[in-house]
Amino acid sequence: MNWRRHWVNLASILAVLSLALCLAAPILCFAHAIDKRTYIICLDFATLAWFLSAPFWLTPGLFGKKFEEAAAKAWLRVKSASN
Amino acid sequence: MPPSWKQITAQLDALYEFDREPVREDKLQKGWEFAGLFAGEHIAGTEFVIGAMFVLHGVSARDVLLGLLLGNVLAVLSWTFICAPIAVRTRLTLYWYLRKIGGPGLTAIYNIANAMLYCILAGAMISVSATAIGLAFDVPTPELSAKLPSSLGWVVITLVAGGVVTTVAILGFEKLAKFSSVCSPWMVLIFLAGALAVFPELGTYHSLADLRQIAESKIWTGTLPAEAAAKGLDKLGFWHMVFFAWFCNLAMNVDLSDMAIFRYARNHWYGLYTAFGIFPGHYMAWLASGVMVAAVGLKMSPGQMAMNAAGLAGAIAVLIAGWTTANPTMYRAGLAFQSITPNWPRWKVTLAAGIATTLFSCFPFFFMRLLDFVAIYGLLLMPIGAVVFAEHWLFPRLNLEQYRVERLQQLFNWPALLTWALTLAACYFMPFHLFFRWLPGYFIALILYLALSFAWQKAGTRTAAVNAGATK
Repeated sequence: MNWRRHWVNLASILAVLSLALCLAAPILCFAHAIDKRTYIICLDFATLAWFLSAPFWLTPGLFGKKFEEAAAKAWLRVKSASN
Repeated sequence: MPPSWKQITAQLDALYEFDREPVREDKLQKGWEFAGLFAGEHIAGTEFVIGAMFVLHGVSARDVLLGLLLGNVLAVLSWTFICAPIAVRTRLTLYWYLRKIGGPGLTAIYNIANAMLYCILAGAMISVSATAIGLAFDVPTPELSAKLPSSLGWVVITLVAGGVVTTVAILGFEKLAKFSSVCSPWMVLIFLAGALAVFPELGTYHSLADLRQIAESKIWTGTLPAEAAAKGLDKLGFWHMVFFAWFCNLAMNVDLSDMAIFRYARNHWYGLYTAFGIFPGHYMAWLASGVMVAAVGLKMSPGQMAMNAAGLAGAIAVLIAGWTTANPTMYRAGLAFQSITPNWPRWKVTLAAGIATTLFSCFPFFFMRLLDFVAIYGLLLMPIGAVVFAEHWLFPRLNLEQYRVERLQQLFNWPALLTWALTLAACYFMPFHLFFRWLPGYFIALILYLALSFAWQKAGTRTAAVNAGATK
């Protein structure tokens, strides 16, 4: 189904962005650009976003056969997803 | 009635039946698939302990940076030049190749020993997870020198954590295995994030020289901390780092367990892809956990370290890192135990392995002495790696008969069994640090196996000649 493919596309973008935030927040903290409290809020938020989105992208098989088929046609295809 | 050797080996063969045949050409995998596989393979809950332990053992900054670098390069080269070439030539798993060389009896003993070691390792991983759960319930992590459970709270937490891990392993191992692949990229970043974020707490810095000064004076100081010295920890240096990084995956590279993976490789250079897992997991993560433990005043509690460095995400990382790596470890242990429990269903074997693992996790000894345990783990299995290496590469060059045990359909390869026992005995009496014993032990095992095989084959030939003469 088309909506599943869009869903996986959206999840993959969100997952990549959350990883980027996981990396950016500590770098900013290290550079004294943000304080530790802000860094931890960013990291917790990024973690939540990662675990809500990444499974649809990396292991779509967990959500059924149709998600697995949709993921095979997604923008950022991950081969291990279907294995 | 206990099962006979025949029953045990038949049961084991049935378990590994699906990969009995050598991998076909059309099943070989591409390089990037190996890179992806290894990238997530070497980040576990135990990395939180190992890197922190280096700091507690008084390693200097230069020793840890250069020692781990060299040790990890040697580990990658061991995969590339020891494990991968044999896997690519045989296209078999270690189980089936060892069966040809050592006989089904020796293979069964090897599997059972491996299973016991897996249970202890999984137990240490659950203990690491328990330090994170303990934060929520205000249960302190046991002392550095603790051998026995330190409080009722610790016992309850490890039992509950072990119970949950076992239940999940029984209900859906495969789903959790898939889920754990989701965690890997995030986990690598949590280690990096934690180290970067706590650095400002260790001192002020404006240049690389400042960073170096903090690293040398606050983290890897090169002197044994007073508390660690009082608890009997020994000081580690450059060569300890080299050898630790090299042997911490000895079971996989020199002891050849990863033949199971490399039998799908196109050539032995694919061993270099292990660097994608080794350097994030056994270099960056160990250095990061060293920084994190320094930021909590050298308190050896992975949960507290991660919570301080990365907040709730850090505590979740410790919990998940321990859980997701204990799960496959327990599964492998269950698979090996299945050989001595004929007709037991899968769930029952996993339950037995889970109970053993959970009991081990109650004892802080195993995770507080993780460095020593990792050394012993590699050491115990090392002689078998040497036996397989000798039989594969050296026998043809010395005109010794390969796979004699298979031809004679014997249960045990006695020279291999003797080599295993005598090498371990020799390693036990070696007068130097535990970390360094495996390397001379490996050469002892090679020489012993060649000498014993030569004598055994010569005796066999003589007996055959006498029998032939008697028949005439």
